[in-house]
Formats: sequence, structure tokens, C-alpha cells
Amino acid sequence: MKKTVAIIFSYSILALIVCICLSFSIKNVPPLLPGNSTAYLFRRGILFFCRFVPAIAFCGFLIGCSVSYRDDAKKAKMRFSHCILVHFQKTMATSILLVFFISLSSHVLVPVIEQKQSTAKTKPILFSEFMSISRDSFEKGNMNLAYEYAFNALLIKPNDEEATFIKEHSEAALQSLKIIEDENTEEKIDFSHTKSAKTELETVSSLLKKAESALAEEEWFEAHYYAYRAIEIADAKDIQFEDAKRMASEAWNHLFDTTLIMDSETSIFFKKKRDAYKNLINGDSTEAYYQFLELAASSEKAARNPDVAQFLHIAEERVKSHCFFIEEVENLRRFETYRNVYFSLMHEDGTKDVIYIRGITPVFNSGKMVQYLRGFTLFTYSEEGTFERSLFVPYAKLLSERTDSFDANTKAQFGIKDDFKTVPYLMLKSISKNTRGISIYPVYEYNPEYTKKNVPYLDNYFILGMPMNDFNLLCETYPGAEKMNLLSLMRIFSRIGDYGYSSEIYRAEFLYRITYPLILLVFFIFLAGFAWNYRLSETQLFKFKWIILIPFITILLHFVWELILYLFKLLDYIFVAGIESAAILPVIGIPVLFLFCASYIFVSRKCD
Amino acid sequence: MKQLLSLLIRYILLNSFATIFFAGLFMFSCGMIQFVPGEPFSFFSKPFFMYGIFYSFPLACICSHILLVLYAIRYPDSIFSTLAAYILLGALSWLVLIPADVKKLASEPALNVVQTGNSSAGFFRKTEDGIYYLSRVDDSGNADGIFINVSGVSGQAGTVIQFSDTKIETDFALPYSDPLIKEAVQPTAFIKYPLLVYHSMLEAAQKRVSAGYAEWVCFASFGLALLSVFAVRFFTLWKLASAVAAIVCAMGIFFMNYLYYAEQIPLFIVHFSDSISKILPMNEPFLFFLNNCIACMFILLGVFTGIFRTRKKTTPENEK
Repeated sequence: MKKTVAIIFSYSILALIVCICLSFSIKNVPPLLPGNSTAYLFRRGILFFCRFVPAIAFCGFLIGCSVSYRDDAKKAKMRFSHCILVHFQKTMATSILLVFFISLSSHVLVPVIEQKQSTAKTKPILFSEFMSISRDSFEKGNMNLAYEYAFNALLIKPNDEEATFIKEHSEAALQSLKIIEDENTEEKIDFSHTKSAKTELETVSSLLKKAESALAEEEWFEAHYYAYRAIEIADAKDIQFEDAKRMASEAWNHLFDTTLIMDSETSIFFKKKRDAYKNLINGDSTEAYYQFLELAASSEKAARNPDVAQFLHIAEERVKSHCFFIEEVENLRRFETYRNVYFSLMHEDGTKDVIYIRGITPVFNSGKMVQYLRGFTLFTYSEEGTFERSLFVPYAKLLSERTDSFDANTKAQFGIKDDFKTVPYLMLKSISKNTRGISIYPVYEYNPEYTKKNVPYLDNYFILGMPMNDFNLLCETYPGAEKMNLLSLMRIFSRIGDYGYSSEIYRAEFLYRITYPLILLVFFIFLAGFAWNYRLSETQLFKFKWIILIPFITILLHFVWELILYLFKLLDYIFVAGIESAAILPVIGIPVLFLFCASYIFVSRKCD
Repeated sequence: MKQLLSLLIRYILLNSFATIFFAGLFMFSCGMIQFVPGEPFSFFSKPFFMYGIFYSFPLACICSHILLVLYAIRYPDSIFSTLAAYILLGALSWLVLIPADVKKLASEPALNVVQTGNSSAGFFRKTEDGIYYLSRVDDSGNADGIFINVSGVSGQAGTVIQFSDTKIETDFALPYSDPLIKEAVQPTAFIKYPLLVYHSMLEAAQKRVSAGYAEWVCFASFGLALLSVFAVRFFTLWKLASAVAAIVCAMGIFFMNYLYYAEQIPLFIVHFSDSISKILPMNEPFLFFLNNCIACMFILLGVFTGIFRTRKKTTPENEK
């Protein structure tokens, strides 16, 4: 079989060179960024080659076997002879190796190269869209947006003059408004001397200890905060509850002590701090956040104030628990991993949510993976298929939350089942990190008939009643079942019918992909039998003029292979459409049967 | 004689199996064309299967003849019995069986495979510009749902249009009933084009058989040219090369005849053929002449190379 492998290898190299030359000679190239065309054409040549790799391998294999079987064919005087069995072993080993390489090429190499080609084709379109928005925003005086899109455009095409012009001018305009901070000259505030504000893992006793210590040091804000936290987590019957109340009351009285004499500047500062803290304690964390932020921004001394630093941090954490900052989603578009994700969710009462997400960007945030969803749209339909409500938000933040962190009412409302483990939790509201008053809320629309009988849901969060794993798998479905990663396909195909996709198509595609190597193997063994029947005779030498037939053999085998694949694909769909999950038996059974038949045909060959 | 009979039996079995196989594929393909996800699928349909038998019999005959040629290449020693069987079966097929089958096919009522029925609710379906989802479809085909415009790359928010009581046209999915199935099972160009070629030839055959037996005999010159590739078995000593050459020649003859009947040939040939048809009593005299020339060429080449190779084989023995 060494001759066979050598023939396949040489023919493959030659075919690869021809395909690359062909790619460079065909001028039909989509618009690309300057400097990308050579790499694009080279990859296109490899894709041409990969398309014909099975046929090239088949042709080389057929010719190689036909030549190599000449040598000791006369030893196979009867069927199932030792000679033919040895040939069968070598043929099987070579076939398995070829199946491995062909499968690798079609399932690993081709998707990677296609992804790179897609990125190369997308870049100029993305660039022109960014420039269009940037230009438009610049003309209208929206410098924030102009700067953001010009910045993104320059990341795609660094030397573009227009993008550079817009970026520089918008940056200058923004700096004159002191909106952008110059990172090189910013003095980082040192918060290292502030105590940790984290209280999640504290007990009542530890909080009371901290409150006592703060009282002793006349740190009234801190004392009240720890005492208040102790009240929140303590049981009313707990003996320490009264202590906590006493300490909180003492600290509060000191905070609101009108007899304290301070100079006007200190007094104003103190009052502002107290007002912000009062909002924090009363639950208005957003207002508290902005107030502490304004205090910190008012002067360097204020920013270094331990109370301001600590409670700004606490307020920010509390704000981030129910919404996110608009600035978090700036410049995210170019990092989008998935685009145009859509699926439906069926609920137990027969209603259906139809969800569409324009783009998804996963980001690591504080050690956790979060996903930012651009253009989140949701439509809810009744059991009869009539419209009930819709929800739209330009950006949503998606977190993976454990199912057991929700109460029974929430679970019932969103259709969360206990076996989901984790579910997608969406924050729909976003506020500006630095500027009070800028916020984005979700937009709800309800069918008036629906609101006559039901209380509309208008909250700033939403939970998708599905396992988080399924959400992640559905993100990969946009390119279609054919282009989906095999592992992801394997994990989702049995459930994808619940999400608005045709389960027949995904199941059939999965079965087709797993039987592809088996079908390849069957065809190789069949070709080996064919090669034996039509081998060179004992005294014949391979003539150079026969090389002229090789392209015809390749095209012929390519056609036969495409036909075989199509037939198997059709059979897969027919079995899946007819007998659903039981289709795996005939779909795998038929190629296995053919493998036995092809193997039997081969080992029953003899010299004649 | 024994060998001849054995070949005849094998041919009949092979032809029958091929016809049933192709008819089954035809039936399943029609089933998939009509299939809509979410609706039940029926494996068997007698009308489609019976139509498939008549539709695929000529193809089964042609494939069987090519397999006979490959058999002759494989077993060069039994050439005379193979040749005798080949001529007999070829004549029978092209002068009796195929015209009868094509005549029967022409008289069969047209199959209503393509159905522009209602799409089922609850699935996402892709179109050129976007994706639509039907939440409800009534009996008259009016539907509620949403259309998602996914055009553009970065896009803005992505346009989502809601519609209600709207008639959904699925003509873009033709001949399939459902765009989902079209996207999944539509054959590639490598499969579609040969099917188109075969279908066009079958249509041409139906026209000729309807015009009378004399017209059919002119058409059958195509069959003669196809059968004459038997002579290719003598072209090379390497059996594989001979087999490939036979298949390539057969495909070439098929394609050449298709180009003529599909009127994809230079105009001057059409005019030339028309001018001859005024003198001779046939519609495509040029093609009839060309097919017969090809057949004669192959037969003569085959005879000469056969004699040459036989003499070459026997001469060293005589010299010894």
C-alpha cells in the first residue's frame, strides 16, 4: 500500500497547487480591505481543494490499488485466500487513515477557513457601516457616538484618513467638555486605607463588633452601616438584635446631631454625605450612587474621604445588582461572538415567547462570564397564537443565575423548572456611570385585550425559562445545522424542536455527520474491490499517457460521491421524518450493512 | 448459450432492481417536496411510485447497458456471449421497451407534486432577507407572526416587523412546500444538473414517440451511439482506463444530445439541420447523422483494435 499512499500524496500536492493557482487566476473577489486579498485568495484555493479532497483521495486510492494489486494477484487463487486477506487488512488500514484526514479536513479545517473568509468579507462592510454612523453623528454634533464609531473603524482599517480626522476632532471636542479623562495624567485615587465594605459573609456578631469599633472611633457612617446590616440579617428574637438597634440609633443620632459645630464647607460636605447615605439606607441606591459620585468628583480631598470611597463602592455594587452601566457596552460591537440569535420558548400554559438578539458579546467581569445582548426583542403570543406583548431594549446584560436563588412565584412566572440548574437572568435597565439622568429602560407594548384581563409585567429584569446551557447552544444555530459545531449539535438536537427549530432537520444533520466517516470507509472498500477487478495485468506497466485520465476519474468520482452523500442525506431525512428518534437504527445500520457487503465482496476476490 | 442466458437473467434482475430503486428514490423525493415540519410524513405513495417506475426505467436501461460494458471489460474472454447479449438487449431496450415506457409515461396524468400549501406555525424559516416566524396560521393561509430583517452586518437594532392576518407566500421555496426542507435537502448543482439533463432528454423522447415510430427511430440513434461505447473496451490494455473511457464517452454522447435537444448549440447547426430536414423525412437529420457517425466510428475502431490486439496476443506464440 506504500505505492497507493505515495500516489495519493503526490496527487494531493499537485491538486492543491492547481487549486491555489486557479484561485489566484479567478478574478471574482468580493470587496476586501487593502492587503487582505492575497490571504483571501490563498484560503479560497485551499477551500477549492478541500471541496474535492474526497474525490482526489478516491482517485489516488483507486489508481494506487489498481497498480499495487498487480504484483501478487496471482497468489489469490481462490476466494478468501491468505493473500487477499492481507490485502484487505492493508486496504482497511489505509482507508481508515484516509477517512480520518478527510473528516479532519471537512469538519475542522473547512469551518476554520470559512470563518476567516467570512471575517475578511465582513470587515469592509463593518467598516463602511461604522464610518457611515460616525460621519452622520459628527455632522449632527453627537461627538460621543462619532468618536466611538471612528475608533472602531480605525481598529479595522488603522490608516483611514477620514476615520482619523473624525476621531481626532471628536476627541478634541469631548476633551474640551472634560468628558473624556486623559488616562495618562489621571491620578488614581488610593483607596487602600478604606476598610472592606463586603458584608455578605459576615455574621451578626462580626457586624456588631465592627459597628462597636466604628462607634469608638466616632466613624458614625460606618457604625450605622454595620449596625444596620446586622439588623437586616438578625432575627427579631435574637438577643443581639437590640444591641444592633441601639448602635444604629446611636450612630444615626450623631449623624443628625444639630448641635455639632462645623465650618460651612465641612458642614455642606457632611450634609451632602449624610443625604447620600440616607438614600443608600432607604434603598434608593441609584440616587445614592450619583450623590457619592458627585461628592468624589467635587475635590481630591472629598474623593479621599473614607466614607465617600466606601459608600460610593457600596452604592455602585447595589446599583450593579439591578442594572448596568451604559459605558459597559461601549466599543463592544467588534467583539460580538454571535449575531442574529433567535429562538422561541414554550410555557406550560401554552403561551410562547419569541426572542431575537441582534448580537451577543461575552465578557469576563469580576471573574464571572457575563454576556451583553444587543437589540434584545421579545414577543409573547397566546396559546391561540395571538399577540400579547412585546419587549425591546437596545442592550441587555445577561447573567447566569442559579435556579434555587429564585422564589416559587418567580419560578412560576417565568416558567423556571428546578432541573434547569442555572437560567439566563437579564438586566434590562442601564444608567450612565458618570452622568445623572441618562438611563435606558426596556420598552413594553401590550395588546389592549390582554391588559383588560391581566396585570402587565413592566419590570426592569427578565428571566428566560430555559437552562443556561441551552441558551449558549442556541447561540450557535444561526449559520444553520450544516455549519454548527458537531459537539454542540449533539448536545442540542434532541431538544431543539422546543425552541422553534425543526427537530427533523437537526436530528437528520447530526445522524448524517456521524455516519459520514462510515460512508467514506464503505466507499473506499468498494473502490478497493473495483480496483482489484480492474487492476493492471501481471505484465503491464503503468503508461504515462494514462495520466490524462486522472482528471476525468476525479470528476467522475466526485459526482458519484456527491450522489451517494445526497442519497444518504435524503434517506436520513426520510427516516427521521417518518420514525423520529428510532431513525438512528436504520441510519447507522444501512452503512454498516454496506460495509460488510463491500468487505465480503473484496475478500471474495481472486485472480482470474 | 449458457453464458448468454446467464447474462440475460442478470441483466433483467439488475434492470428490475435499478428501476425499483430509482422509483423508490423518486417517491421519497416527492414526499420530501411535499413535507412540512410538524406535519406527519408518509413513506409510501403508490401514485408517486408507479410514476417513478415509468420515469426511471430508461435510466435503469442505460445504466444496465453501461454495467454490461464494464462486465465485458472485466471478463474479456467471454466477449462473444457478452456482445451477443449486449446487442440483443440494446435492440430490445431501444426499439421496444423504452419507447413503450416513454409512451406510457406521456399518457400518465401529470403528477401534482408541488403543493403551495400552508406553512406550519411555530418554526423559524429563513428567506433571502431575513427570518419569519408564524405564531398562528388559519385555514385560509392567513397568518400572524414576526419578520426579522437580518440584512447588514453590524446593523442597528435589527428590524423586527410584526404582522397579523397576512397571507404568507412561500413561492421562494418552490418546488418544495417548505423553505426549511428546501434549505436542508436541496441537491447541489452537481446533482441537479444531471437530473435536469435526464429530464430534458425524457421530455424530448416523449415528443418523438408521440410523433410516430419513425421519429422514434431517429431519436433512437442516440441509443445506438450510447451502445457503441462497448467498443471502447479494446482501447487500452488497462481495464480501469477502459472502464473510465467507456463511462466518459457515454456521458459525452448523452450531454451532446442534450445540448442539441435543449437548443444550446450554435445557430448555424440548427439552420443546417433545418435545411436538410426539408429534403429528408426527419426532424433532426443532423443529430441523426452525427449519432450514427459516432456509432460507426466507435464500432470500426473497436473492430480494428480488437483484431489488432488479438493478433498481437497470438503472434508471439506463433513465433515461438
